[in-house]
Amino acid sequence: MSTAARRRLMRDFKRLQSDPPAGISGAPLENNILMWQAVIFGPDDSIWEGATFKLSLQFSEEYPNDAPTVKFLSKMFHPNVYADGSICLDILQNQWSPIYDIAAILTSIQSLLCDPNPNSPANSESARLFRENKREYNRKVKEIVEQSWSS
Amino acid sequence: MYKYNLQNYFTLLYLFENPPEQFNGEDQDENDNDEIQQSQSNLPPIPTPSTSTYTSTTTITTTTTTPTPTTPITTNINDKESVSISNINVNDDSSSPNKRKLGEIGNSTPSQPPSKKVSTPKSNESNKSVNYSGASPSNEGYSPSPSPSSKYIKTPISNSSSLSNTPLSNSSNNNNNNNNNNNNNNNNNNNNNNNNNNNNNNNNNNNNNNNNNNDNNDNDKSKEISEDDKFTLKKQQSFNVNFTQSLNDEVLSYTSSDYYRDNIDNPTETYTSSDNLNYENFDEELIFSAPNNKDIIHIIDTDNKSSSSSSLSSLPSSSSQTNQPKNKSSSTTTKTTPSSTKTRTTSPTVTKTNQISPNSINKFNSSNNNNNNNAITPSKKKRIDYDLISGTRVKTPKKSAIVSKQPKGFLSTPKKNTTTVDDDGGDDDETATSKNNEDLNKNTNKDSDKNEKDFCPICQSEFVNPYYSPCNHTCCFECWNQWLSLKLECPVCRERCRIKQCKPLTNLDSQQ
Repeated sequence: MSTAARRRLMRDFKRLQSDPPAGISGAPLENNILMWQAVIFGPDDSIWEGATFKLSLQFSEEYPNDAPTVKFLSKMFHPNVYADGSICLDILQNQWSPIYDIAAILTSIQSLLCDPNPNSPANSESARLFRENKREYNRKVKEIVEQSWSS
Repeated sequence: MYKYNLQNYFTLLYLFENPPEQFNGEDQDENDNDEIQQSQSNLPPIPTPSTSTYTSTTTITTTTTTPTPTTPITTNINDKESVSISNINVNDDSSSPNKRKLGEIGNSTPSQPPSKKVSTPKSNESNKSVNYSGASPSNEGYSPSPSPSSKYIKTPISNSSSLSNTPLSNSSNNNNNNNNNNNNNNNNNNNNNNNNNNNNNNNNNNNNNNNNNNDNNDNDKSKEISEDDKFTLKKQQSFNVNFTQSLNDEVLSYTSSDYYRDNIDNPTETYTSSDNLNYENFDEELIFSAPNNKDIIHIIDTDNKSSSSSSLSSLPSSSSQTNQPKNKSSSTTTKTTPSSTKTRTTSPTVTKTNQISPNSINKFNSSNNNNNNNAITPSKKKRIDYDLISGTRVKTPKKSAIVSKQPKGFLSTPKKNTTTVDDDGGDDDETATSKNNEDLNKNTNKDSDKNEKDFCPICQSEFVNPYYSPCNHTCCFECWNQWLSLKLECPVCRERCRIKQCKPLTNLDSQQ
């Protein structure tokens, strides 16, 4: 509460609690407000429908002037997600802006699931399947979705 | 035969010795009158050869008659009487010519006893004389009688020899020494007989040999037969072997035919199975009608083909199965497309809501402008700036990735507002829309206005020493300072911006 980052995070948390977007929920850990865990649901009417993916968000003291580090904790098969769960997203890198809050970040990631960018692949296999063999890509995605239920 | 050979031998000897016999005969005539008489007696029978033939027949008859009277008498007595009878016959020869001939023989016999009575050595001579008496018939051979007569003579010679033999035996019976000699002779005879017997034995042996030969022949024949049998057996064996082989061959052929049938049956079974699998394969029946192995092979090939066809039939089924998920996937794609359309429909609504609120704000600002216009013109300019700033305040809470575009549009709207201020008709239009919005969303507008006024977009809290950028976005000075030290761009619209270009909002504060 003494720093601007903590004050900002508290306000973001209150706002997220009062007015949560659809398919998004998140909360900081009990002992550390700079470490959050969030859950996003797959968008409806898409191949990701029904999936539940767990993510971790690590904020720095420079927040909101510095972007947080976001990772998928659940297993993921997506052209823009690395094997370790890191996310290749412009607003989290060079296009970051301090007006983005946690709700905005999670909503962006949710939309990224349906609109991957194969030109900057983080997972070459999934990117190749996404371009060449859509059937197999969809099959793999379904497999991941089913696995996400148990996790 | 041997006997005849011997007699012939003697006859030949005497024939060759005719002259010395004639001389001897003369000597004999000189020496022995009896002999001469005998020869004289011999002369009369020569002119009558026919009578001689009769004599021979009569002699036979006599010999036959003599045994008949002897039968009623005992053996020994018979022999003696026979001897006496022979003597009597000799005596009776003078009475009849036939008897005379027999008496001649008898005469010879009485001459012998006187010689015997003389001395024993003379008896040996008498034996020799006996031999000569045997030779006398050869003298008869000297006669110029024809050869047939000689032949006729020969036959009596044999008879005489037999008769002489019997008297010799009689003489032996009479005298012991003679008997001994006779025995010797008999022995000789016996020897001869033995020889004869030997001959006979030889003959018998020969016969035996013949028999042996016959036996041998039989043996040979039997051997031959056995050999023939062997050959036949061999032939039979060969025949049997051939037969068995042929049978085996037939059996093999039969088995092969069975195998052939089995081969035929197997394809039929497979064919039936194929029928079970494929009821519409009629061509295979036509192929099966042919009995050739090649056709059978074709049947097998067809079976393979049928199996392949079955596999093909299975493949299409699998393809159909795969087609079903394709259909599902297509259905999913069809489902996805409506979702995309839905999302598209939803996004315009969002944009509409965003557009409505700025309009209401603009109208509110326009009403404020009207009030200010009534009071002071320079105050109008300031108010305009304030209105723009308030407009910026209104923008900040709803900003997001999408807001980056909308602010630009919003910036264009203030310019339009200025133009509308010049035009009274435009003001009327704005007021109309503002009324509608106010009627629908009074409370919401008020709340949003409050929020917008109070909060900084970076620190999400009330403004502390606010400054505005050339792009008219307001933030706390400290917030500006921290962000612009990292990146020289507005956090809201990403336009290039420097901290020096930012100006404080002191006027606004004073106004407040």
